[in-house]
Amino acid sequence: MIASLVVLAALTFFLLKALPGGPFDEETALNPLVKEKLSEHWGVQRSALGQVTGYLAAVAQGDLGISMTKPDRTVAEIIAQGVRNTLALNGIALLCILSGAFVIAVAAVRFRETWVEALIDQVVIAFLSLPSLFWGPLLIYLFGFYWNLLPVAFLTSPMHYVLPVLTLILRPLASLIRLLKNSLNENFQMDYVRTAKAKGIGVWGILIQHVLKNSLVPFLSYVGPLIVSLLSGSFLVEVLFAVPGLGTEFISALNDRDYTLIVGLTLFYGSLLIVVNSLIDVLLRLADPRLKEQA
Amino acid sequence: MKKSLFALAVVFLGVLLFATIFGPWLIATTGLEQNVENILLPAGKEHLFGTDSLGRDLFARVLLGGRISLVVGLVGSLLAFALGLCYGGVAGWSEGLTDRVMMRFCDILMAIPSFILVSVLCLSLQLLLPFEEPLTRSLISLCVSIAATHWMSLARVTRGMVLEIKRKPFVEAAIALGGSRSHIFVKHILPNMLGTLLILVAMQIPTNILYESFMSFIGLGIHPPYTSWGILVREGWKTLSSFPHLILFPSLILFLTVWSFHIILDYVRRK
Repeated sequence: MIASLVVLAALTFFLLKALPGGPFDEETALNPLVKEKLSEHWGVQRSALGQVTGYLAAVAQGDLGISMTKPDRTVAEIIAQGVRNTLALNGIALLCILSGAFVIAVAAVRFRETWVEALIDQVVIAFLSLPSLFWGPLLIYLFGFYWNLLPVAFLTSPMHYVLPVLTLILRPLASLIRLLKNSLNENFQMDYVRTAKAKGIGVWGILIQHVLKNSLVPFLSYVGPLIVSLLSGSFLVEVLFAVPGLGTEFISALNDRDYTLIVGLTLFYGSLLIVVNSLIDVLLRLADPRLKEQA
Repeated sequence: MKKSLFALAVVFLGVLLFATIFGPWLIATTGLEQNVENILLPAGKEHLFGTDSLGRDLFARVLLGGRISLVVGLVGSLLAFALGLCYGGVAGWSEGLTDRVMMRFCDILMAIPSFILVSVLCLSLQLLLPFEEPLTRSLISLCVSIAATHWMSLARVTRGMVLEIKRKPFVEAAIALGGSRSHIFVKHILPNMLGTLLILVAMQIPTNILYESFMSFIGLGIHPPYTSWGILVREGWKTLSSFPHLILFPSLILFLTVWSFHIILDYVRRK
């Protein structure tokens, strides 16, 4: 995991470093002396290796540097401001996905081999292919402009969360339902289910008491990738709904070539995912003690 | 129900493919001519999808943009396939320390959220590549950056299958008969895993198409005046409140294309 972070940081840094042109090229007719002073101030005249080590030393002390296009703000400040909105949005989305997937997948398995399951299957495939580029603007137009029911930009009240969360959860929800359903179906054919049936437990009882518990491990191990896909989806959703979060900052940083901000955000995303994945590892060991013995 | 959906999806993709390849030559307008008298027309007989803010025919532009989007989808996944096949093939064939190191590297790359890498790579490639033509530059950087971040799962599957097939008696026989490494790989191992790999490659295509539209939408992929589905959605997005048809048609086609791919793949996999 730490290795991923190092590779990510190094790749980003060297890729951006290899770009032709510097951050001060676009300014009209800079005095060479001023330019030299500027480069010296930002440290860009040093060798690449010198810059990397200097940067890493600063990062180790919690200093991510100053934004190159918004010089009055530090990268850490920008991240601290954006992270609240991004985490709130993704947190709510995660809760909706987890609860929604459970209900729908259990329902699909309860009514398996009927039209209900077939319908859920097809809707899941359709939702898997629904790009937020189609779904987001459609929701905004219908609820925001046509029926005028819900606010479509910023995150200032609970109502503001409805549309972005709906846009964000659609595809991850569909893929989680598919996964959970397969896992439930697989367990449903086990011998212990037949035993339980023979003892006279109803289908719902079997599903909830026995099968669900055994399907938990593949489900839990999917939460990590789920969070990654939520965070990736969040970039677009934040732009569509004008949410002042990390995603919007990242995209504007990319468009403005704000190197320090890009690298800082990349590092932040990387470390966030490491923390999440380690947490899930711990949870997995708790859910399935066999994994602890293997390790 | 599944069968009819499958048939519909095949027909849709076939028509779309035909229309994007030959359409721009067959219909009267190219989607590039501007016409001040006909701006922002709604969908109608003359202009099937209406016209945009410069009076260009949206239907023609969707077909024109489809070329680029589909090319990114196809070329990107073929590149990823080539990379994954070589990497996984070498790892699976050599086993031991080489294999472990190579697969470890693969795991490290897989843990990085691909969006971040794709966007940073695409941005740098667009500025680094020495091509004059801006369209070539954005096309190549899109394909390469998508492929460079999506070959890992293909490499893993390839490695697993090479390891498995290598132990089969017919491969041992080929080794005993003195077949060279490349001969064995191409004639004996590759044909046995091609089916599985092709499904994986096909699954990559809709992902790539979505990536293209996403990157162009946020301003890192194709740039106007060239057009792709992402660009059309981006242009339509600006006038969403008053002229929703400008975003509806391109994004609807985008959705239907990706959906058709998923329906077909789901059907094939179950067979």
